[in-house]
Amino acid sequence: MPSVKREANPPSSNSSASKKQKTKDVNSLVVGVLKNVGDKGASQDEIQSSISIDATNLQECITSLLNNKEIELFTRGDDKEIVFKYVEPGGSGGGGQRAFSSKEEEFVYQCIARAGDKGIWTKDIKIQSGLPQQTLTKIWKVLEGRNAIKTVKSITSKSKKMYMLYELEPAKELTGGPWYTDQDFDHEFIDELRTYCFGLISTADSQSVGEITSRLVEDNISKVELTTEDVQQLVRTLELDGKVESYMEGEDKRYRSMMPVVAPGKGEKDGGKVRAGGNSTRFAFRHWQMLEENFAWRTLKLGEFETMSAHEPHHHSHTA
Amino acid sequence: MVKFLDHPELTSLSGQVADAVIGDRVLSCTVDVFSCKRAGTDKKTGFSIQQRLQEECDMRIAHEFPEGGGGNKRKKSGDSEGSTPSVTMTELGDLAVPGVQRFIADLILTLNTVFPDYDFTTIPATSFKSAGSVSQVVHAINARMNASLCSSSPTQEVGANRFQQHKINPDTFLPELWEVVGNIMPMEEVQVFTYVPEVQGDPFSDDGVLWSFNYFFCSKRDKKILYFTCITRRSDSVFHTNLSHDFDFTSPSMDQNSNFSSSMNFDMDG
Repeated sequence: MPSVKREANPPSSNSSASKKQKTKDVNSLVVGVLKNVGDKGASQDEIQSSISIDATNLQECITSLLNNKEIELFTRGDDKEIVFKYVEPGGSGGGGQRAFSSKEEEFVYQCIARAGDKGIWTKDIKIQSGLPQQTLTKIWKVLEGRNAIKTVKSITSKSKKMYMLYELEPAKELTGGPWYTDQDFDHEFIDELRTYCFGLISTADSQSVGEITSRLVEDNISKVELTTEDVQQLVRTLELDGKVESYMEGEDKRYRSMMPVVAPGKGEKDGGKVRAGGNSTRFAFRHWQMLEENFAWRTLKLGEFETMSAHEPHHHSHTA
Repeated sequence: MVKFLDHPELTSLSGQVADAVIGDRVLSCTVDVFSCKRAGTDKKTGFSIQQRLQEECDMRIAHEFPEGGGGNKRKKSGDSEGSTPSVTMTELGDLAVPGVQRFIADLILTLNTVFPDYDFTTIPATSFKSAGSVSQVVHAINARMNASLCSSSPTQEVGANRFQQHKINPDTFLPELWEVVGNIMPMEEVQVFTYVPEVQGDPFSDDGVLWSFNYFFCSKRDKKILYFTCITRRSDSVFHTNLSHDFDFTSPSMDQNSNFSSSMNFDMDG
């Protein structure tokens, strides 16, 4: 048995000497892990699970190792996960494109890289780096020019200037997911989708969220990708509006229409006109659909050749 | 940026209120003058802002007249002039007029310059409002600032506060300031506008901000904008050194070959 003198618990002294020792120990542990994984690198989480250390210490350790160029930062795989790799002393450790003109530039890049797909506000970078605005402005220009970073906006703080790595996709918290287009809540898009979903539900006996989602994809209704969770949200709004109701069929949740009559045509949207099906004088639209946003009356298409335009007196027995 | 005009007297006066400590508050003011001449990247940015404003204008019209806007529809809006729909009117002028678009873009470029950690490029024209006459605004500013500078709240031991309690003489400071301002920008034919802050996410609605004002004094004749801002924060929310007013004073037309400042003592062990 090798007689390695090892302390079971580090001494809890506050002296800076022992603190430095602790840091050195942690650093060499991390380096050890990275040496083992080799080229594929390890993410912060992976490192943390290999050695028992708390997140803050690990963070500090990684920062100092990066600064000493003992390890390097890369993105891995399709989802561009951030990983760290061991760097051979004296070598560049690969990644030729990561030639930085200065320590400052590299540090800023790493701040941004560490923020991942959430992006980071320029003010936070300013605070972390302590660099003056002039220097930072130059660095943005260089990094943006090389397509290393790009600006990104968050729906919660539309005016804050944020950066992220060029190759990453912004997280849903920033973009708002499918319901936001260019930082704006896309009412029209959602209305169209709701109309479509409701159309599906009311022309069938019932529909499940899964079935609706497949039809949406088949019919290529949406330019953005919609998950079943997204569609579930939509259908839930229809339920809350009283237009559909849900019921359980065994373990599956299904939806059926609450409206008594034939629904408007599937997937049709006559630009402001609401189409009613059949010859019934009871129409499958509600009063709010008869009004424009500014509360003027809409023109309604009652049948193939009949319309009730906004100026007409409002009774159903309408003669041409 | 919209070109920054350096006036040493103004800089020295406004410097006094760049970070003034008042009890447990920090008053951060900026008073800067800009020329409406665009240089460097601002030309491109300004142009794209104007394009976007044109889109905003078109959308307003399309929204108001969804059927394509026939002649009789326009009369419906109650506009007796007939040619310009009132739907594109804003407090800064008619959004359909290129000159107005350019002016709004200048205001946005100014905001971008004074607050480099923010990007106001996509804000709508409705973010700006008329602030009243020059005398009304000056009066409001004086009232606000006097109230703050003369604040005699007992100075609590502000512990980690790095700033000295301000030494500004409220009796002389504002009159001096207005005199200097008046020399730079004679106040006849000056219009005053203000940016209306969002609920969150801009410098006037950041964490720790207690109150603020901001005014664009615009001289169409001299093609200048004097932007006066004041943001008061709790001192425990001001976490870095006097960088609250730290924007890039240099010319925007920087070439790629500029050296990095090596005089910066860049210490990584912080």
